[in-house]
Amino acid sequence: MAAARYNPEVDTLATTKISTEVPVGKPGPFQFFRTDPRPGYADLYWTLEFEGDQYLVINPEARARVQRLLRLKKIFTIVDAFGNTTLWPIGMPTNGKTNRWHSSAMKAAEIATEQWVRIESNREIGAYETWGPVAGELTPVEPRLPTQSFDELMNIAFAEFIIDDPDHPVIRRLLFVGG
Amino acid sequence: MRVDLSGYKSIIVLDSEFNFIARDGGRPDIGGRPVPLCLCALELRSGTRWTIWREELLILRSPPFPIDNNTLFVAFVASAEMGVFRVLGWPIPEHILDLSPEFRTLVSGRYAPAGRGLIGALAHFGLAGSTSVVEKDTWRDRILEGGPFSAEERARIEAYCMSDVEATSMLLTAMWSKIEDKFQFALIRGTYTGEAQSFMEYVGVPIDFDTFTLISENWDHIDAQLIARYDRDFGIFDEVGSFSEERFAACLNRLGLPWPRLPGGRLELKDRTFESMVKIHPILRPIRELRHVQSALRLHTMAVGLDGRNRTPLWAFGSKTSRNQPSNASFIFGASVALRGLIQARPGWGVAYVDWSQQEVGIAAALSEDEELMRDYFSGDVYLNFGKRAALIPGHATKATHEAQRESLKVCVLGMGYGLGAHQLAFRIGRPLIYAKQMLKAHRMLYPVHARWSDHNVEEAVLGHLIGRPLETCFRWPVHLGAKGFRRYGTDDDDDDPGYRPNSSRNFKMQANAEMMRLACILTVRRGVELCAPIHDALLIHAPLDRLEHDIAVTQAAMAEASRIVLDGFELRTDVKVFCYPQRYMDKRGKGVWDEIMGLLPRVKKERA
Repeated sequence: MAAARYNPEVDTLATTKISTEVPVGKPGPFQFFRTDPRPGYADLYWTLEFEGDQYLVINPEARARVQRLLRLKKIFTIVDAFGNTTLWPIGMPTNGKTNRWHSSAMKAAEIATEQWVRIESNREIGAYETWGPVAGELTPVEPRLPTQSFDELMNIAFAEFIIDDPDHPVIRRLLFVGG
Repeated sequence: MRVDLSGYKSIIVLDSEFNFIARDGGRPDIGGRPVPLCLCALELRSGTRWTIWREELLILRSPPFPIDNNTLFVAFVASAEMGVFRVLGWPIPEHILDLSPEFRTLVSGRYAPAGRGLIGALAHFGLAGSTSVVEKDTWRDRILEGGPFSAEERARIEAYCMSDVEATSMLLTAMWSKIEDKFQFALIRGTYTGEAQSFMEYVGVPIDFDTFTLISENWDHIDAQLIARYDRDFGIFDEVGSFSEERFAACLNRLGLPWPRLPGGRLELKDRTFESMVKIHPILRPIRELRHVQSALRLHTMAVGLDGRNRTPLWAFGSKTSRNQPSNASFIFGASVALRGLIQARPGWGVAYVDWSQQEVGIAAALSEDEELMRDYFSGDVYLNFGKRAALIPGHATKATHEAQRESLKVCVLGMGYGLGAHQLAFRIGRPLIYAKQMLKAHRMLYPVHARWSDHNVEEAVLGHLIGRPLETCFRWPVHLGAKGFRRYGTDDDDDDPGYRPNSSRNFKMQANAEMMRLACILTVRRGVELCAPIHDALLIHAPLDRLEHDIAVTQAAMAEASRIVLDGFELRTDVKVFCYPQRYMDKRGKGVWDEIMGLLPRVKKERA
């Protein structure tokens, strides 16, 4: 009977979090996060923004049709203090031009592989500021990294937002193709 | 600071049973004072036990156990036991440890599977009392039914009461390691529940009992009259006097007014939405008043004793932020503001409502140590001062000349405390988004130290979560961030919570307010004032007219002292509103409806006659 008694200190049957929802976007201004440092948990993708949503354009023919609207982004896996996983796309330099928002975000993502940080936009300087705790108690606190592979996370996050067909409705609308 | 309980010669664990029936076979006086039935105590060092039944209790002029400064009293919800002490005329002990708030500190912000009562606390520590939940409910119901009790029933009730004493003793042993390093704060909490809360629950709020009875007995008639009067131009209430969403939608269409909608398309009908929307469309104010009165005018549940006092458990530490959480249905200040007109001092007496002025801003100024904000707080009206410095109002503006602008500035200043966004601010004050953005930016620029402190509170909450450290007030009331963080009090819990909301913890330290309120209550009661109730940032007192001024001064001094203690020397101002008999307490927000109700009463009386 003693074994069946509820004990909050030890009574946690072993479970692991299985992410079924993976948001895509930048971390909020007070969302402390860590970047998943494992190899393969960040990669480059061609993306397309349409009506506020971000699409992955994986079909070469589709890419050719909307080439000027595409943006090359590096998608990082980040985890916040509450164990929530988010995929964070950060724009790469376009035509050799660097955008300070993107470069500052990229720096933050890199710093976050080593320590907990948060970002906050500073419109006066046109870039993100990175804030991190003063080193101390937090140093040994490791993030709860996702158990799924990066591909699995990408599939969950972009399930409805993959353009794998040159006649995809988004492409057709962008090109004003009727029917 | 660790504490050794060996400093106490005696540790007495207590429990009591009571109902509200003065005579066997009589009717309960809900809102009356408790009528003690049985009291059990156990002295932990010697093992001495006391079981005292009603007849013996009523003739005892002091407790049979020691009550000196070397004794620690332990109870679970000490206000109940000390309420019995007050009814019996016994002195209140100096040192009280209430395990109920201490248990709440452990589960604040967390899920407590078996609840936060004694049984829940025992279950949390893997303990089991000798009384089951079913048995407990059975005996509680039997006690509330009242006597006469058979010899067997009496024996069972005594055993039940003693079993709770034993359970509380076991809980003390299990919890001690969690309490000892914050024992001094636990004692303050115990003093609040045992001494101040029990006093306020014993005294109650004075009510005009005749008018209360007249309104409550004729509410259906009055309600119909109010609908006829307020809904005349709208036609929103149906034939049975209920608010009709369909009719309301038609009315909005007719008037061409936009209205927020839920994701599913239905109209958003929360009172908070009405509150914001009537500021933009004042034409709808009567409808909001009527809805509010209908929902809050539940006089049949109001706990008013036959002696004309509103008494109800204040449920101290009921909220995550440790504030009192009395039932809105039974507490006069939880009902419609219009009903506060029922509060009336007894003949020859007056009531005074003493509140901290602009308290939240004062606390933020003190805790953030923002000198500009402190200066603006001390130099008068902090909302107007902000508006002038931000050039949003002219330098000669006063509360009288710029009342509407001051209201907008107030929403902004208070909103800064909990991270109000520009869209919400624009919505609340009915101004363009660009204007709201300007206001928020101006505040951050004028008070940069406060802005950084406010941001730091959020950082501290999240980083603390990472190392398992809860957020705490200055008197160590904690809240543990859960998997989804901590929602700001006052917001609804729902399944669609998108996750951690940083602003939830932004103003947690403002709960120093609750610490301050508890200290002020303790000091006021100890200095002999008839303290009736705490209301958010105010205290309501009752005194004979020849002593009223003195008691107000004592209360204000106590509130100032409490603010100095909590804010490290920073003293908050207080304001006073006095209502001498036959004047009624009145809140200007409810005056219209109250006057309407009072206007209907002569006709009601005539019809009854």
